[in-house]
Amino acid sequence: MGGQAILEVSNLSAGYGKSQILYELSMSVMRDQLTLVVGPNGSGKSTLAKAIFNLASIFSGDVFFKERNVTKLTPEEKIIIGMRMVPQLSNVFENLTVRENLETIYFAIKYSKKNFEDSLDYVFSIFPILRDKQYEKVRTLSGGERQMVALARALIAKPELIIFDEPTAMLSPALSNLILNKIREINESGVAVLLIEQNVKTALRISDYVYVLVSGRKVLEGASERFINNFSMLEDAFFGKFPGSELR
Amino acid sequence: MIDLFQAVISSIVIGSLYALMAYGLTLTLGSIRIYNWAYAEYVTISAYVTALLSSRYSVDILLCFPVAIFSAVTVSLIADELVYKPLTRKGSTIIQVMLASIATGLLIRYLIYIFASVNNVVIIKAAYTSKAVAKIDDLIITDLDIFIVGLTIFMMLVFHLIISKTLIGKQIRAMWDNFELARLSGIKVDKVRRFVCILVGMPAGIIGSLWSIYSTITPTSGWLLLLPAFAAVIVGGLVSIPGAIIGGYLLGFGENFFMYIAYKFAGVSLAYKPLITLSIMLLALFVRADIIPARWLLSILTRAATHRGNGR
Amino acid sequence: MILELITLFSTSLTFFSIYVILSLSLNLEYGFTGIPNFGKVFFFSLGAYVVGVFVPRVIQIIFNVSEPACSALASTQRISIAAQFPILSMTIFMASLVFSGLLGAFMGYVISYPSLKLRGDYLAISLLIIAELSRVFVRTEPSIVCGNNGIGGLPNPFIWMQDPVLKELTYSILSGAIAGVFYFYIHRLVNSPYGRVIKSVRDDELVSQLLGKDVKIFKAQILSVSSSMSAIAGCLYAFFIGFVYPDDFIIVWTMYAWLMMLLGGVANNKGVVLGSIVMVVVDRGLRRIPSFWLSLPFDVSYLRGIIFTIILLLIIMWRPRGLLPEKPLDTPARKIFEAHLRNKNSLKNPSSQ
Repeated sequence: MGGQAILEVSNLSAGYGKSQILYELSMSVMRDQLTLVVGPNGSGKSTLAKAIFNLASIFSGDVFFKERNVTKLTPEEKIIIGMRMVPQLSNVFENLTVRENLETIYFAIKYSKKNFEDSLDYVFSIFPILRDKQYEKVRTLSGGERQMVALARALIAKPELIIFDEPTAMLSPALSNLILNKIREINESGVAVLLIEQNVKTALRISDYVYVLVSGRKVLEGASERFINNFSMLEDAFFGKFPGSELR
Repeated sequence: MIDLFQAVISSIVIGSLYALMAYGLTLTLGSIRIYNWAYAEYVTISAYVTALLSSRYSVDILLCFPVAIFSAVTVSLIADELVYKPLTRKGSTIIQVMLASIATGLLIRYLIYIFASVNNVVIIKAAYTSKAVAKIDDLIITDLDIFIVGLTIFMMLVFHLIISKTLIGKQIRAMWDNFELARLSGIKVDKVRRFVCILVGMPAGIIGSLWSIYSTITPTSGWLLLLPAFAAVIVGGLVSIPGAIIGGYLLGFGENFFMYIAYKFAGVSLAYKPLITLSIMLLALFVRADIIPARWLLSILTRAATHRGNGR
Repeated sequence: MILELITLFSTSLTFFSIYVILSLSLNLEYGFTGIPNFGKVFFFSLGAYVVGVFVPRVIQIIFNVSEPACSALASTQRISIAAQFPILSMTIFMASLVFSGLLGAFMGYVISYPSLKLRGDYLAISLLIIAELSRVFVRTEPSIVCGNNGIGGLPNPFIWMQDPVLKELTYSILSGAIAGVFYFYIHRLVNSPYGRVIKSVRDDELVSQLLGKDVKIFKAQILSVSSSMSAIAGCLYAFFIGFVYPDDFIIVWTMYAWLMMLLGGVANNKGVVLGSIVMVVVDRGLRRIPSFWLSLPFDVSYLRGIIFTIILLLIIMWRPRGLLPEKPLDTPARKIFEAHLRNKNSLKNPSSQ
């Protein structure tokens, strides 16, 4: 298990406009670890991802990346220091080719041909299908292939942390398993991962640590192994039964 | 018979101007999501610059072009900074932006009116007489015709290269395709926006200068060119650049070639020209809105155009 | 001096009535129903063209006037004929109002069909282009209203009055009355369940349809009513000015209507009336003042235009929904609801009784 946290969220309260979704949330992602965040619909999981990337209104609290306070950095600045995010929906450029989609990271980072070619090798080693289709427009690809492009975009130019916001949404069980396994593969190649998922059972198996979010608050956390054998504890947390809930 | 070919020549010339203008309008619309009705005034300003410099100050006509282009680009940037960018930041609806752009256009036009009437140049023409380059019986092709068609097509090709091959072109296409994702991917939205303003300001400068040579200018000249250009944008479905280019030529032909045929063979008065523009636009509109069934050949043609266009 | 003031008053009242009708109609279309009409001047011009096309020809046919309708001589003859036959001129006026209204309603109905299928911005552009191109057409085609020169000699219905000041005053009161009727009609129309429906169409058309409302019919009705109003306003304008020329009907009229609606407040009829008052005062005022103490080297109408566009831009940037807020609809259901609330409150505080 890695030592320090590569990402630390400290007492974060955030939302959209004037409505608050997250309440003083604290959590962290260790280097080399795959951290999972689960919770029922509307619990604020997506908001967490957006807030980390400063795309939601942050009311208070901080986000630290490699011990540096990055709360107020623009998406561009975050990408430059090694953070990436794969949003849930609408996460590819339909009318650009696969290759062009992968190039879009260079909107933020300085382009280098070698850097890009190396990144492409890495991407195609994880998603071999994309190599043959790299000059096709994304809108001609299937749902699963599109999601692969969405994930692959985050792999360009040596990311250090990738946030995946419900990557298996709208995918079939077989494809979901495939995508989650690929995410594990990515994590094993040295990239820290923050995975936000609905597919709890499968995601639990590939993750190291898990947080449960309910109504914008963290209600449960722990090493994943603990919950694999004690799944009902997770389920209860979803429905409001968790340590400390009796006090409410 | 010869007049028919002359009508074809003018159709191509006017069509090229409309096509280039529609290109600029569609690009602005797609990437920045602005209906820029003030674009007409960028053209008018350029036309006046060229006309004044060449006739009052005897500047060589080719030297007027860069000055006109510079003026158009400057006005384009200023209008964006003062009006369009603040509105986009505020999250204004597309109707509010359209209203603002019409108002901006009118504001600039009034300023042009004031300038023109004070300096006594309300009606003006550039000091250049086109020379015939080819003459077949009574059919005349002038150097101006060739210059217009050549320059506009050249500009469209340059645009195409910039947008498809350069990094900033990819950024423009990304913004066009998925604005939110583009922002998330770290695009410097303001920088790209400014680039687009400069990019579309250039053809405005060129069109204005060419127009001041081709015809007499008044403060409403730009507006009268803009209307068919927007109709061409509609033919392109608002999102398709090839569609807009085809629309431009379609309207060029409609206003010149078809008008001429209607005039010669059906005695239709030339006053009906705007009705032809209107009919083409309404036809395109109805086809897109499925009011005219898709079985028609016309809709198939339009869809073929947009299918190629969606590659942007 | 008194006469001057009365004339100023009647001119202002007439213009105010015309402006109010125009902006109320736009408010109905866009403020309440969400249909962006950027071609308002088109429907306005329809009413004026009805007058310009038919009135001269009718008079000339009835009285066998041989002069070509477009000539200045014919204009003078038409005026003198109308002055001698009061019943005729008033009948022609009323008939024109009716025909303008019908033509406007028909056009509105025709437009409603494509407006259903087209997205707001498509519709907005199309209407704008229709308005502009039809103006260009009418100004070049001489058979409609004598091309660019326009046609004159359109007799005021009260032209038979000896006193021209009285004539203007009577006309302005009539216009004001028509505007008042429209105001009350719209007020009743929107403060009702019907108004609730069209607002729901504006706010979320899909939901409205899912709730069983036939959006088609509502939009057709609204557009018919508003276009009819616009045409009637155009008719009033034509008779007031006495002549019709195509270059009058430029996009500025549309922009004025939008400005008045925004000045007052979207979907706020009282606000729109207020906006129209401001507009008339500023517009008429700007026409007088500069010639007094500003000697401008250019036409003062340009300055007026600049002021108005700047005001419009400022409002769009800072108060895009207008200066006054939208009010909840005053429907019967609401009255019951508010009475209920009041009863509840007074029950809570028996001591206040």
